[in-house]
Amino acid sequence: MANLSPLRRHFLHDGNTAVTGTDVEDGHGHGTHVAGTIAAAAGNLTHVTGAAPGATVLSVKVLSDSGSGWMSDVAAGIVWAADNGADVINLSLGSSSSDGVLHSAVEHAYTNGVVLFAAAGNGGCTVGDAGCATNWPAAEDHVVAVGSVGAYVGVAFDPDACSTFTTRAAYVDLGAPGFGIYSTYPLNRAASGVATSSGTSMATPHAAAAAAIVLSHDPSLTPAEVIAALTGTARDAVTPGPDTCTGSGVIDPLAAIGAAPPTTAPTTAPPTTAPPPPAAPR
Amino acid sequence: MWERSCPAHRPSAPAAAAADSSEVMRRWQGSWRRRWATVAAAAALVGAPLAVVGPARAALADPAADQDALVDADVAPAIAQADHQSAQLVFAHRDAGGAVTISTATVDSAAEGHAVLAVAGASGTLEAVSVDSPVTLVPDAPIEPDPGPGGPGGDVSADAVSNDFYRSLQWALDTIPFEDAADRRRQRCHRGRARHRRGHRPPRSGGQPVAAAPALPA
Repeated sequence: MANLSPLRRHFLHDGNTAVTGTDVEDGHGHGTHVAGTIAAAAGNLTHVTGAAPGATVLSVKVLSDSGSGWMSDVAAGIVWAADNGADVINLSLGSSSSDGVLHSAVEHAYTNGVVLFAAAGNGGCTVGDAGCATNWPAAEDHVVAVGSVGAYVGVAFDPDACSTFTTRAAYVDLGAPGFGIYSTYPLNRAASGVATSSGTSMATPHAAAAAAIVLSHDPSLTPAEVIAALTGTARDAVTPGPDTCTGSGVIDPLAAIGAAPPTTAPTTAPPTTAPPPPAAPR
Repeated sequence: MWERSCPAHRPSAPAAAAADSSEVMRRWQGSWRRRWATVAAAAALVGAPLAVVGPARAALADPAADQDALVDADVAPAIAQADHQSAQLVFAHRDAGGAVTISTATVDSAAEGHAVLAVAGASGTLEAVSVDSPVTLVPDAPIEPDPGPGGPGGDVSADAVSNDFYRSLQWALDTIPFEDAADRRRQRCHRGRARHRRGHRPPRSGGQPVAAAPALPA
């Protein structure tokens, strides 16, 4: 086996189990689009490459084919993912209400070393204004809320402009591309296997993938350190300083890697025989 | 704690006794099974949360919970209204080992709600109780009209946003050719068509040069 750089090391494999232990087929398409943004393999026929193609996706089904469900299932899915080896959880979903059980699930995951990302919402408004709802779990503590950048300003496209649809709020931590995102789609929903979508749902997996890259660079980082690396290196956008669209700014994965030094190299000589077998799946 | 936030609905002694009855337990467990059966019957996953799996783990934190904050403020009103409209309660239990279990119970009366709550509280592992709430994926966003060809959210914006982002990542990854020849031909054709149609090309953001990849630490 050729030497793999830390960035190319595959994570845990065989995570194809749903919350219920049964079906994880995507009958909607939203999840496949999000998953493709995170980890679509390079060189596939769709010409879509995920932002962290070396990562392995653990699919956890919490919503129905119509795209709706219950927060209890979301909470159970978070707990299940955390208990089954997830390092990063992407939550491109939301509700206008929160509860203590969701909070317990988030805290369980976070204290088990999981970094959680959630969509800021597509309200196109500012939380605090009349009729503008807070989006949960994005507003939870220990969840990184991701807003969307990319918008037309006049006739010119500005990739750093705040998307008109994104929900602006004090709880937003980061911004990421969410406008016109080209990614994978189920073949039974789009014959080409690809589709273009816009929304904070599409911005969130970019940030989640950036976290996966940072973690692959140094798996020993804690969630707080990963978040600090992402927010501390985010590129200032929209307005000078923190803002309610992108929080600390737009993610910059390369800078985040630089901000997270790799684990100190081992002092012992590497083995000269065959590499050890891969670790058993957790 | 729930009793403190709503003393008028403190579980009565008869209700607590009823909590031990097999009928209450049967209904609770039955509704729990129905919920999971419903989830299991759903044909496909909308996809979130998606969990990227990796090796890093942190030590489990102290699972101690503030007993006064166990019950959401909306639980007591929901139970009080359960005689008229059933309520689905959600419980988070954390055992001594730190394992968290999420379960639900549908209650059809206030008395049943009190009984179920008493059973959950008596377990000694209850961490939180809530009323279940609907959640949806964050849908495709409405976007402003695209002044150029290709329609809203079309290839023009994808080219301007996503590809630059991926090129930046490619600089970091330095392993996988981002574009193959077909990609380059397709993009040249696309840009050519765009120039032909509207006399200009969309501005490019600050993507990093693919060839300028720095050496990454081993």
